[in-house]
Amino acid sequence: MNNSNDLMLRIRRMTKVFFPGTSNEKIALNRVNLDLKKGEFVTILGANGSGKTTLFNAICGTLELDDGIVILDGSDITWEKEHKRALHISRIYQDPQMGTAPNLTIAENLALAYTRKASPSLFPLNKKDYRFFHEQLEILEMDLELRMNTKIGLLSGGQRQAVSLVMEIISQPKLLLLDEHTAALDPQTSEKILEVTNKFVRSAGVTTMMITHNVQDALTNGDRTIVFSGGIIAHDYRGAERDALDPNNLQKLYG
Amino acid sequence: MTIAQVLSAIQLGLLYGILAVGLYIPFRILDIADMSVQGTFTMGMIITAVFSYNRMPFLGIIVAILGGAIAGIVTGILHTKFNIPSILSGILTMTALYTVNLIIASGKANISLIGKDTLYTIADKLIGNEQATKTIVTLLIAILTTVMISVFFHTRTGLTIRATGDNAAMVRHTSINTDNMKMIGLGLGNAMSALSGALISQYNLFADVNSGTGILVVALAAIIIGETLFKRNGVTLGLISTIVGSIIYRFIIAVALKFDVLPSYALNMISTIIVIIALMFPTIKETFDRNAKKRLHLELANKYLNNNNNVLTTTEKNVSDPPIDKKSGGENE
Repeated sequence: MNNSNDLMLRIRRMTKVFFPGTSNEKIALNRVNLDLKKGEFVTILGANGSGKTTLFNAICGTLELDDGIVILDGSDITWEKEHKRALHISRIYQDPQMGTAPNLTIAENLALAYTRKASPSLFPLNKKDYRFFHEQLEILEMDLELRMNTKIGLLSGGQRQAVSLVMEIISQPKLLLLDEHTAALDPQTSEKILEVTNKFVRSAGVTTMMITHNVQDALTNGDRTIVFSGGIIAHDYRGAERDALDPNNLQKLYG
Repeated sequence: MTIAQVLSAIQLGLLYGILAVGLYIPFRILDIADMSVQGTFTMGMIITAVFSYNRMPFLGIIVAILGGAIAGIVTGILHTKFNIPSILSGILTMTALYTVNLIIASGKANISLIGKDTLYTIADKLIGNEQATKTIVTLLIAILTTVMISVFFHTRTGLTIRATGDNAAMVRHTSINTDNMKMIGLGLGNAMSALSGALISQYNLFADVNSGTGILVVALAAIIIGETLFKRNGVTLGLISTIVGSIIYRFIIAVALKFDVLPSYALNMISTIIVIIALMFPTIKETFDRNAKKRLHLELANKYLNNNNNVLTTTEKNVSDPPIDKKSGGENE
């Protein structure tokens, strides 16, 4: 049924064991198989230590796998170096500090993210790119386009996370990984960032995975929800089955 | 101070300012304390002296710059490719360079260039006044290098180097090899340091393999004085303030030596004390500000405590300010 050309990400037998052979042995990922269609937006739920972040680390190349293969858009990236994969994979972390360089301005941070996709030019802040960044920031509706020469370090956590989002989108990744990217923000800002996330993901049509601890967010965003438990995918909801889910029932699965 | 002394302080300030810029690049932009700068400074001197001795003063400066860049890249390789801590990589390169410098100088500890052609003697034939030549030539080179480095740090590569010093993990996530960026930065810094050494050997008509001793503190003093006076603000201003800091440092040294506070061999001690004072300055200022604030508040508190409750409430009403206008805010961190 699934034509492999439609698949952006294919994971087979993905296995990672921490501290093997000791009493602390922990199977973080236990032969996980996962397929993501092009443009699919998947939300991921799961208790702490269930393997969600290990999955992201393994996809990004921060961790080396013990077993398994990762295929991104038809090419095997299992043994590719982290910075090489980063060309196609973007990731936003929970900590707003991680995704931006604090002593550079908003425009400079965007220019850096855009380096790989911009038309070649000696200076990164040329008029054409500057206008493009301005347009992208306008979509946020956070007035950040008026402060493009402000150092990122002076922005609030929510503003920094919004800029991170724009940075990842303009780098045109094949896969976008959101690692609890709204968890450190207050409810209003968190909602705003989620709204913008949806806007960007849909308009760019980028394949996305989003880890969250908020069951409601997991069900209202995206078009598929995966529940991790003990290193395996315990549940995989989509379509009508997903729509019929009651957040309160899902909360029980957490334990 | 005589005019000659003032000019000499400016010339030396500019010459050592180029060295300070060479340290500024790894130290402030890449956040790496690069000790190899000391070795490449001396190497610049020795290479240029050997070439000038053999009647090739200009080629000497160019080879010195290249030599400095290569040594800087060696430090970078040790640090990034073999994961040796940056400070240790610098010390290793610096120590090895001592031998390299002696090899370049054919085992001699010093080289005199008296009677040989240098950049300064050649320019002097055009201008005709020794002090004017030294000032103009040094100033031109200092301006040229500062402008070039400033422009470079606004190019794509330059921006990436700045970001690497700021948040290396984020740069890696942009699919850029941060190792290469560190190597370029270290190469550029050490090239500047070698250029400074090269110019100083032609300026003094003398090069010595031990000239590098204590030179790091001199460069550090320039950076810190510049930052204390002008704050840390962007690359271009950072480079300019470093060179201005270097000139101010030379004036302090000139005054200290003029009044015979300490003998001339105490230079390194004077440099160290200047750096320590400049580094302590922000902390001391903070303590003073805090104490001043505290005194003011104690006075107010005493006023309240000495009066009865009735007075206290009325004074409070008078004292209370309207809440701060929230509209002007918006920058949380």
